[in-house]
Amino acid sequence: MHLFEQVMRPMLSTKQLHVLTDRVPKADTVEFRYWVGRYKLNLGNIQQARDLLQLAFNDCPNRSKNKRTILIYLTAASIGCGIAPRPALLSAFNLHAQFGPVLEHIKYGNGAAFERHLNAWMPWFAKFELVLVLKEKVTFMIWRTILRRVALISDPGNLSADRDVQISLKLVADALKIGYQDDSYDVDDAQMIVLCLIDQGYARGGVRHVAAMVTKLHIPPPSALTKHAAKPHSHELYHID
Amino acid sequence: MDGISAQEARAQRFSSRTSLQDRYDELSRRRREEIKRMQAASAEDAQRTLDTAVALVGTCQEYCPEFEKVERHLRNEVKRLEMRLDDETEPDYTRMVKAFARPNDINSTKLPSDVRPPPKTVDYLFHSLLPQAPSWISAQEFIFDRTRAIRQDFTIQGGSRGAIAVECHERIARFHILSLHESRIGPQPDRDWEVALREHCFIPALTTLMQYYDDFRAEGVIFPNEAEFRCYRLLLQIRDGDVGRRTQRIPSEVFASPWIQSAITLRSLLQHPTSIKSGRALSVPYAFTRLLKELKRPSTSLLMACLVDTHLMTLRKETLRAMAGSYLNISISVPTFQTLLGFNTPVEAEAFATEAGLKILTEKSPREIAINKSVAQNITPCEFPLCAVHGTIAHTVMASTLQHSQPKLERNPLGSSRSEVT
Repeated sequence: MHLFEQVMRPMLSTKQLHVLTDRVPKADTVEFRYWVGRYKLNLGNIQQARDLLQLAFNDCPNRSKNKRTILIYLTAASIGCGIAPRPALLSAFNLHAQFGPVLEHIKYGNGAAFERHLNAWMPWFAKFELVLVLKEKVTFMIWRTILRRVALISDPGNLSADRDVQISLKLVADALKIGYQDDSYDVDDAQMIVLCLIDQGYARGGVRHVAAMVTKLHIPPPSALTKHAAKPHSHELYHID
Repeated sequence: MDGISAQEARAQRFSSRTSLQDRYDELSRRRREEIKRMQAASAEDAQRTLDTAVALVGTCQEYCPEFEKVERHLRNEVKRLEMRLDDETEPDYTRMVKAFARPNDINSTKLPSDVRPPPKTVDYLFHSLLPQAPSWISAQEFIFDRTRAIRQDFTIQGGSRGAIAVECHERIARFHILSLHESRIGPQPDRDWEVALREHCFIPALTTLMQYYDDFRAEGVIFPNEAEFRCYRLLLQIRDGDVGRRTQRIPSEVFASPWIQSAITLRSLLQHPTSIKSGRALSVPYAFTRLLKELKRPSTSLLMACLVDTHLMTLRKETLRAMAGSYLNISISVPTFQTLLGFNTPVEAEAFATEAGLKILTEKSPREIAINKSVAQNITPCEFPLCAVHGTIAHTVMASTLQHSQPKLERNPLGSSRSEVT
């Protein structure tokens, strides 16, 4: 992989990646974008990875076996960006058993169930080298859901109206305890998790640590954070919210 | 009277020097002959194919070849730990251990008499020398160099790889982890380049070990400690995506072991958004207090904690940046700061805050640390050296591990799993 980086550096500039001209055969373009996409995914640069894999997926002919492989990595990268494929798409490629529950656990903030699912499918995810990426990204998205759900419960209906809410960190900690079925979560953890979400732009607001409150909380949809060069096809992907 | 005794002593010193020189000349003459014989033999070997080639087998039965002993004695290159216990000016030939020499040195031709068959030297270093040494600090530099020579011996004797090679590499790797930890954040941290050198030597040692595991698995031999060392690899190079990718290709029963699963959890909590080279990463779950709780679980061994410890300062800094960016309060009390960022004492917490350029408000009780949005811009990655503040948590983990008294606990992590190694 280190060699890959050295050899490919001149070709990896963002401009080059998107301006592959018509002169290059389509099959080569798809293959190139697939591998670079996987490389970026491994590096942790999921937004670029998702863009490339989406382009590869769109260009890959439907009859090709590779389309399913591309979709596996595209789904993993998309989850990290807060975008989920439609269940119909996953079913069509026979991936619902693996990714369906993951999406559901993210939606309900069910961390404990996600851990169980990942353990049950460990050999499959390891075969595609996705365990580490999924563990990291899904954990983050579950944190986001939990915070969002707490905000919704404390002030129902107001998130959609784009009004800021105020919630107590104690509530977030309780929600984490339920989500992960783990009593070791406390107010400090809740605070750190909120800080992590705010720092990366997945939530807006301020923390009053003495009063253990989050104020002016607003959780934008994930799509507002990522500027994608490749727009998801409306019938293929939807946003996690 | 004094004059005569001084003269006698001088004469004695010179006569011993002369006899040493004679011995050296004799040994180097024999050595030259041996090299000639070797070269003649290798001329015949040139006809052979790789399949029928004969691997070099070491014949040196001591810790150090005799030629090197005399040579280093003559050049005054004997280390303190190789001197006699009763007289620290006189080298003890039974305690001398072969030093590491780069293969491109002038004397690079390796003779069978220069190479030790495996591996009583490892036992000597960890069981006899280390407990006797005046301090860990004084011994680690020495052992660091000597274990490097042991690994080199294994490489030269390509044919003698076996379970014993794996075991020696495992024990050396465990030593390296402790050494890396102490040199980064121990009571007397090393300079940056020394730390880099240690890490630079440790990574190949682990890589060799991983290759041994892969090669032996192809032959159907499985080692019980494989998961443990794969786990260390994951925790050493936390920013290297390739290490994570390769680890997932090992057989699922090894991958599912608690060692690796626990390492994956720790690794995901150790990442931070600025850790990747090109731009900021997205959706990185870092929460310092969760990491601390994860570390205090019984599934974390002492050596794992040592490795995590070496990455903590960077993560603390990232967390501080996030705190400064989203706190509405203008200050935070020192005890809270200490809990959130996992320091052992308020003094450590204050030292860290000062290093990061934060003001300490001494007029309040308990003391407070001023923290606001303007701080956020001033905290840049790697602004202050890693070893400036201790704040080590491995000792805390050790205490909690002892409480749990898990079977995993390594009372002597460097010790052999077998009672006797021959």
